[in-house]
Amino acid sequence: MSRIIFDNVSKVYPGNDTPSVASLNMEIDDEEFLVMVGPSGCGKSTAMRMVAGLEEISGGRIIIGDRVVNDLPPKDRNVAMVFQSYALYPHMSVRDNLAYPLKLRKVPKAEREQRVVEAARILDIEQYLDRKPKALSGGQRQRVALGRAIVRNADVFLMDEPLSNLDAKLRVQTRAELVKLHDRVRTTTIYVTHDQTEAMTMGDRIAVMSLGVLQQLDTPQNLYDTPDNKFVAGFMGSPSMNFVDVSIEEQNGKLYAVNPGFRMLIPDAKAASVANYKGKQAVMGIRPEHIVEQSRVPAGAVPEDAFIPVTVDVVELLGNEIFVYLTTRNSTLTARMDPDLKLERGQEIKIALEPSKLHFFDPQTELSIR
Amino acid sequence: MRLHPRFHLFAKVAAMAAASSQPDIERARKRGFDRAIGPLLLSPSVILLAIFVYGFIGTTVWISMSNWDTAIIDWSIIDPFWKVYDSLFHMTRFQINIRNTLIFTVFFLILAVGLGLTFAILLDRHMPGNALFRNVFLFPYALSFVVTGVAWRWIFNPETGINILFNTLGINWVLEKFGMGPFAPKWITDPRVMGDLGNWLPLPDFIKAQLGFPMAMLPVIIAAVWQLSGFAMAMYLSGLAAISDDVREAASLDGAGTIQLYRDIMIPLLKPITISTLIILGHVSLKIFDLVYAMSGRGPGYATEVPGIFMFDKTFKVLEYNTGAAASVVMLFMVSLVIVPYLARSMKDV
Amino acid sequence: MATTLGRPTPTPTTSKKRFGLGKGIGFAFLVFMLLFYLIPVYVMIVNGLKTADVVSFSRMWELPTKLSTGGYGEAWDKLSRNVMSSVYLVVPATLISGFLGSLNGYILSKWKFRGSDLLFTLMLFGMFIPYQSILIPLIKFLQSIGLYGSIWGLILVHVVYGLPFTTLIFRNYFANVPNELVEAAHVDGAGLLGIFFQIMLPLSIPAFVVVGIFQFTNIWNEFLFGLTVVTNPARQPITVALNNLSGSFSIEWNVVMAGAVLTALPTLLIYIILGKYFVRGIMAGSVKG
Repeated sequence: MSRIIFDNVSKVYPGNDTPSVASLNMEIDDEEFLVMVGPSGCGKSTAMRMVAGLEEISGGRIIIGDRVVNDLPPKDRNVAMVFQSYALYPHMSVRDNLAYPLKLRKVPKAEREQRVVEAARILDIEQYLDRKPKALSGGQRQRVALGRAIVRNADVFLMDEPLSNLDAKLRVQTRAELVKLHDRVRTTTIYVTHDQTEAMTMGDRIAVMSLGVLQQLDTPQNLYDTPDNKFVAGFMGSPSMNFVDVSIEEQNGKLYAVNPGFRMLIPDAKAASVANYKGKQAVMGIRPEHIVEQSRVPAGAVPEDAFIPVTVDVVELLGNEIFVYLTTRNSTLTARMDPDLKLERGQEIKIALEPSKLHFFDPQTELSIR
Repeated sequence: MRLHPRFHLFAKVAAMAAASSQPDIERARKRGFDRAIGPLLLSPSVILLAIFVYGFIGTTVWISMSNWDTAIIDWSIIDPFWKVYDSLFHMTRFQINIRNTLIFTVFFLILAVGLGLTFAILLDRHMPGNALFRNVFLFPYALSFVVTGVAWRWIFNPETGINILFNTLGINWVLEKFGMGPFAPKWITDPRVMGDLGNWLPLPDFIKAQLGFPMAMLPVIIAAVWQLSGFAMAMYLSGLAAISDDVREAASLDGAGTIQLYRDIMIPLLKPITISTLIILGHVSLKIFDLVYAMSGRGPGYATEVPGIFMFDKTFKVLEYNTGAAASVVMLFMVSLVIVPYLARSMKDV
Repeated sequence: MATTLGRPTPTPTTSKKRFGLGKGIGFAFLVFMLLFYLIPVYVMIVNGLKTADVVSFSRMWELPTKLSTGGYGEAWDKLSRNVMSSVYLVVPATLISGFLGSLNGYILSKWKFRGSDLLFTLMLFGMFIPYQSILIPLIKFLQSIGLYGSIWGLILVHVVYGLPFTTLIFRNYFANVPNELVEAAHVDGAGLLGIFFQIMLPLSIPAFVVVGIFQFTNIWNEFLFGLTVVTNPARQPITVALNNLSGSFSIEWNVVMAGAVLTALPTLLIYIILGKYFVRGIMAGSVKG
């Protein structure tokens, strides 16, 4: 069991001008389940592979436990990795796949056997021990890949998009099982994914990466509620946060976010930080679930002239909820609403934005205005 | 009105559905016609091969059981019909031919496949000069066996070639310093046969050939390895390239060093390549003719003669057609032993 | 929120390439083998360039004191007619067997019928047989149709025995062309031959290159048929002529070596220029592709 420290770590591939990972500083606690998330090419996999020793570190240090591992080959780092392709040895039975790392570490045969069976029991793959990977379903292979990691008592688990080759239903189920498994073995885990839902549901903390740079590292709830910048705000949550260009105007001592389509009163709690942008442009963000149709707003909570008239463009039915694509005079908004509203295409409705849930970003730096 | 992208998609699907609802009957009829002309277009090739392969093999088998052993064609069957084979297998010379083929095949396969695998593994690990090595090891494959034979024949001539190089390089000078004679093997003119299986195993009486290693065969084996180890290398390099990096990485994380990686993971995964390479090279060596013909011919005391040369000799020099045909049928039989299972297996896989 | 450790000192990069002992030994082995593989090349080229009076066996490893193209001139005089024979043989035989093979491969991969896989396997067998086992009937057959001793007879032989290989390469190649393409063309109204000429042939240039290279190389390098089907030494293919040259005691050694280089040159050039396809063909030709 070990903490992992990225100390100013960078990775530059030969022939590339921009680093794939730039000055990454991050400390992962012992027993933590850390999810690294970001679009493809953001450097999350590279960062993980540097921990594994599969990529050389161009600059900085990586520390596992108390050891700087920069110059250790993968086999001496005592890390286990679950690959997206599972990377099972096709010519070995499940039993031999699980036993192979133990064999290489010269674990006595009896203990080897006992640990293999134990891992197989935890993952419920005991009945497949003598099969070849070819004869297993995708989900079963995925479990064998996990088994090969847990059988080793490794200091660190690295998981590189381990669920993305599973079908949607199995993915959700395995997600929960992975969390349970981590609760049980408590091995420090780095989990890489491009799927923000996986990140939100699994991570103790989430590291959001983009273009090789760590954007924010925090708990799922904090990331969602208080994103540091526009990228994080837009990446976490589905459908994404709506962004609208506004100008900040003052009227009667109150601040308003103004757009040709609406004029939104900025609540006092936000006003202090936004005050610096008085008379300037800003980007306003609002999540789809914080857009409320007029009939669902408690009477008197919002003054009549604060409602925004919009046209329903597209309605996507999801059963328990609907995604509604709305157009105002010069912008489009996505809202998450109640199917009982029975909205139809072309319908004119009025909406309100929950004032306490507004986010503001600097249009140039894209940093959150707080 | 601005449409959501999904509506465009829907429109496209609808248009496709409409397009495919044309009369199906016309197409089905046409397809039936096409199905019939497929075999028709294939038939010229099929007929040619039926005659030139199976018809001619049948004829050769017939000749091998006939009385035709002069310039005059005689199709009548010899009595008993296996008589030609019987005398063939009792011929010491032909026994030596078979011994030579087997010795050549075994040593050639071990060396060519072993070297090919070694080259591939070393070159798979990004050596400097990678492309140069690959090209030099593979280029002999593009040459004719005759060119190979002509070149190596002079190199392995005891009076000329490599022995002079040993002198030039001072190897013999060093050997003599240590009280040993000069290293001057007789190569393709060496009549010795090393060892005899008859000393170890009770062999049936009719085997008169000494079942050992004919020293004159060694240069031929070296020349063949020179020509074809690059083929094995190319096969293994493609095989290695097809193994995903993930598997290698998983093994290195599991704790495998280079040796374990290749011993436990890569070489077992290359097994299908090894089998294909062994079969392809094995059938080449079982029917070898050109190389031996151009390099050493019969050799001293038939030390390098193989059935292909025997057949050529019997058929075209002494006109014993039935004996030549029987020798070629034996060759075909040996080749079929490796090729037929291979073809049967690959047919099942398609 | 990013956790920073006290001072973010830039540590020196560790990306020095490791060239350890194991790799060093491997490299030394490769260099040794490289030199060994070049021995025949050295012997052929160096001695081919020597003048007739210095090309003695005792000095075969020495570099020529003065370069001479006399060996090549004499070799060309003796072999030029055979080189042309080989060209007249190789070009038509390659083109015809390639075209027939593409048609066969197309039908056997995209228009399978009952028993077509078995038929294909039976055709393939023809590629592996020792040609001694068909040689006697073949010669009698060629004599009976009047093609014995002529280049046309040899072309026919190479076309027929080239068919299994060309069919194999094209069948494996077309098997990787998606069936949807054939079906789409069918929906658009094209028939079996229309699809072949309009869709499959244009797609199959890489397969033609592979087949062309290998048929050219195989036929150019072939020896047994050339030796037995054509009897006039002046018209025999180059490999047979080279062998005759090397077996003749009246020919100087520099001429033989120059002849060997001449014989090797066309296929060697193909290998150098189209090496990528060469390797591709090696894989494709191993039946399972």
